[in-house]
Amino acid sequence: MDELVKDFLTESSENLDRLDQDFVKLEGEPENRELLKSIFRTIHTIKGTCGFLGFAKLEALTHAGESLLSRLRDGELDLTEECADSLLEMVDAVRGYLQEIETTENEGGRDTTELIARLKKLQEQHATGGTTANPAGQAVEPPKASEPVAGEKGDHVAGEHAGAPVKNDPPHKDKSDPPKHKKIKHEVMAKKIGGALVRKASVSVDDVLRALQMQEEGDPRKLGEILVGLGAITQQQVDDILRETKAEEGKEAKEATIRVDVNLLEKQMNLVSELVLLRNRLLQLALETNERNLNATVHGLNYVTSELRKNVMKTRMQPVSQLFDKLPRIVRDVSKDIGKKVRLETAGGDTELDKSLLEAIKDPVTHILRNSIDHGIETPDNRRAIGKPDEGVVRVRAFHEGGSFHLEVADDGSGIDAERVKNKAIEKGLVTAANADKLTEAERLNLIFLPGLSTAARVTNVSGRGVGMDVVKTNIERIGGRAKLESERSKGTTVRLEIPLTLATIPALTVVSGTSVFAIPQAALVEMIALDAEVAAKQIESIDGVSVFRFRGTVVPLLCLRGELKLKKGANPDGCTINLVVVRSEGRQIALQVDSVRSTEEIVIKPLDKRFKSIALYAGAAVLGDGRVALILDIAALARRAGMVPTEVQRLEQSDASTKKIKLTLLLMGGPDGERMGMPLERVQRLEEFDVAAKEPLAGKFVMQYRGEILPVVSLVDLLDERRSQRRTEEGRQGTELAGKISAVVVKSENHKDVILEVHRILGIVKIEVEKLNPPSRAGVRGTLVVQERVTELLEMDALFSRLQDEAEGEPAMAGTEAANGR
Amino acid sequence: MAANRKYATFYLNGISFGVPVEKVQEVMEFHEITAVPLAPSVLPGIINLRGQILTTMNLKARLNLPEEENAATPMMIVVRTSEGPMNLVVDRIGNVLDVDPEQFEKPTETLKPGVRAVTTHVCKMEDRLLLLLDTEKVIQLGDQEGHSSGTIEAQEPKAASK
Repeated sequence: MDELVKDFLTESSENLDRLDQDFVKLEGEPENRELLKSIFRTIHTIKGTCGFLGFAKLEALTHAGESLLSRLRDGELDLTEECADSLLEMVDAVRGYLQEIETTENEGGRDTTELIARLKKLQEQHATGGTTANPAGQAVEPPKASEPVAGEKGDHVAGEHAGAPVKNDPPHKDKSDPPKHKKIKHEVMAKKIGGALVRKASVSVDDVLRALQMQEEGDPRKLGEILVGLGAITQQQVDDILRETKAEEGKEAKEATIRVDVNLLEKQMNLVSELVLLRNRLLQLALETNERNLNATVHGLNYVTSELRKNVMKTRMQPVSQLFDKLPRIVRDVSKDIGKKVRLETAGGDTELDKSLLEAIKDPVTHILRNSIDHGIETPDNRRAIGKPDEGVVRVRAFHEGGSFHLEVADDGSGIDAERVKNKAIEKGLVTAANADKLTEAERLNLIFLPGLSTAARVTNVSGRGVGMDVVKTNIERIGGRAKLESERSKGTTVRLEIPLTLATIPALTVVSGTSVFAIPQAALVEMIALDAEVAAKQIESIDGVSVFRFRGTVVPLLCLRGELKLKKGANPDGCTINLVVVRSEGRQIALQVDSVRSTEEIVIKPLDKRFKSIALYAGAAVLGDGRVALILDIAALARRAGMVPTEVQRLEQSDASTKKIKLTLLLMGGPDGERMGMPLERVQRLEEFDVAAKEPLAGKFVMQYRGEILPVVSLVDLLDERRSQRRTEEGRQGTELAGKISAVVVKSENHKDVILEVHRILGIVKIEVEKLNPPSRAGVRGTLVVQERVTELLEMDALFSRLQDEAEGEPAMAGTEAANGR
Repeated sequence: MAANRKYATFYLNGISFGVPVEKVQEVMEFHEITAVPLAPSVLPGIINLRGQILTTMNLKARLNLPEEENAATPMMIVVRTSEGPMNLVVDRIGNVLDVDPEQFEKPTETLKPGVRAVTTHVCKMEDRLLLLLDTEKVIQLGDQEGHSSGTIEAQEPKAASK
């Protein structure tokens, strides 16, 4: 892309971000001319540049906005809400254009004729006279604001009209600024030129005031000229001062910051990380040699390296105010949308965070904020009724603590009803009633982070669709952070995010399995446990061929890292101890069995070759302090591999003794002989209807192509053993002769491939509460239940999978199935 | 007449191979390989080269050459590719040779398919044949016959671990 266009894009998008803020602020203080001017200038600059670059549509739009703004600025119009809305809409449209330009390098087909018309119409309205900032009310000439950026000619002292803004002004001024003498008297010293004249050329304040007065009374001359005319100053002095003032201004703008390519920073960061590692090894070597000079030098190097690292890290840090600046606009839009009054308070905007992390928390924070306004803050009427002020407050606070970055979003709204969250979670089948009762208040509240849970009574276009908080949590966890929620009824809710300061290095636990060293990110770590072999035998058991570990009252799937990665057995110093590392991911816990635990280290994550991606168990590699290489385990992938914690049905079986009812959601099906059957809905991926022809024979069985995968097809009848052999003989014939449709359930599986279960009839989905499961009626059935006053067989889904697996291994081993049933 | 080109040569099971010298980042002693469990045998693992993680390729496995007992410690040759550097494990490093493009011949049918798929030219040297490798093709796994073995191995562990 053209350098010029690129610069234009970067600059404009930064300016637009500021615009959002300015507009929202402006609504609060509609008479703030400085804000209006700043907004005007931004739009003006964009307009000027895009005209130059030939983006005609964008130019037309900004032109319309600019004209309206200039009238607002001159006090000819009041900033109505309608005005603000249209202008904000214009900002969004401009942003849309810029995005389009960024991706396609032209403006695209966006049509803003209507918006332009609206902006023009607004512009034609007359001021109601309500504004006071223009007390003289003099007939102001039509604004010339729409002229291109004021040329160099108008850009000398003379151009500095009395009413010119105090600071932040670019060198080019707009000539249409009407004089506003009242303020000026207090501001002479603050004025750039006036002040400079007084300070540097010993012009008296009175002279300046007199000159200003003359200007007001219609003297067409410019301030400097008048003063020269009054004999207070020479033309030479005026010119000098003007040059100086301009130079200072330019310096300030230029020297404060430079733009640096993020990639360059990234590279620097990598190199510094390497340097740190090299230094570590050099330190080691220097110590061994015992050479005095060398040691001194290495220590010097040590210090410089540490400083360098700190500083390079710092270059990536950005103040969180970059994010905060975007929030007022969101608060404004959302609260207006749903008719609530909300005030945003931010604190700690100068708290710094790694650039990429800042980017990563943007969406989650926005979402939390929306939630707070939508669900947290009550409507003004409701608030009044309970004695709260009409206006709700959302406080966003950022701070550093304990080596992490913290961000809190707190509202003074209605709070969250933990009981309701719990019930909702049970209703949605996300947690069982029995389990939910065991949870503490805080844990119940945090169920809100489960996928598919939304407590909003109604779905608004802001939130309440049941996606949201889980996405927040996932996104935060992805960057190694944590999300927590606290709430007090009718007092408010606080969401706390804890984020590591930087992603460049992460603390990790290194473990040994076989002969390899692996790193586990500390953020995923829950606990390390060393078990005596005897104790282990009691606490580790097998459910459906999956090892589980009883850990503080919950059942956690257990993975042996060595087995999982097919590693050779390495030297195991203490063979009778079993080392477990309990890790957490996406709300699940799993226990990893490792040979030994090594240490914790700060590691630098390096990407792994994409050729290793298909293994999908590593998040990267890291060079350890001793120069060894460790693979970083992808805990989320391992957790998925380990499968789910026991299913509801398993819990149901476990709770036989208790009297508590378990809620189940079942998919009801008609069996081959008209009997009723059900399976837990959580196992259902999709309900589908296929052509019989889609069922293809393969190696004595049937398969189906489904979404790019070849999935085995199993008939429901096959699950019911006594009919099995009979069915077998008919199968071939039926498969070829029958035409029409097959009803099928795509059954999902954590450990195996999904399976397509061919059924006779799908009856529907029911939610039931049951106390216990009656003994199974036959093999392939886990037990019987009464559903809608009919006896219903609960299908043994795990048998389905284990049978398929057995068959895959060549043996229709019934024994395996029975063992699973007999458990 | 085209100018001579320089090739870095190395040996696998006594056969000499060459890669354009400008593709070679460095030649080095054998570094300890950190195994990547479940990876295809063509890619046994990664090494730490001055803090940089390099993927290591067992070139013999890649070319479907039998693993012969080799008394000497293998060597490593890091080649630059469009997908970043790749560390190749070879038996022995040879000289850098000037080769006259006139000597280039099309790979013959007699070459093993695994070798032929990644060989651009064959050069008849005075005492031996020099096979010129296309490093870009070498790093592509599982797209032609002859090294489908790589992909099968990549899938195998997954299936077996179920």
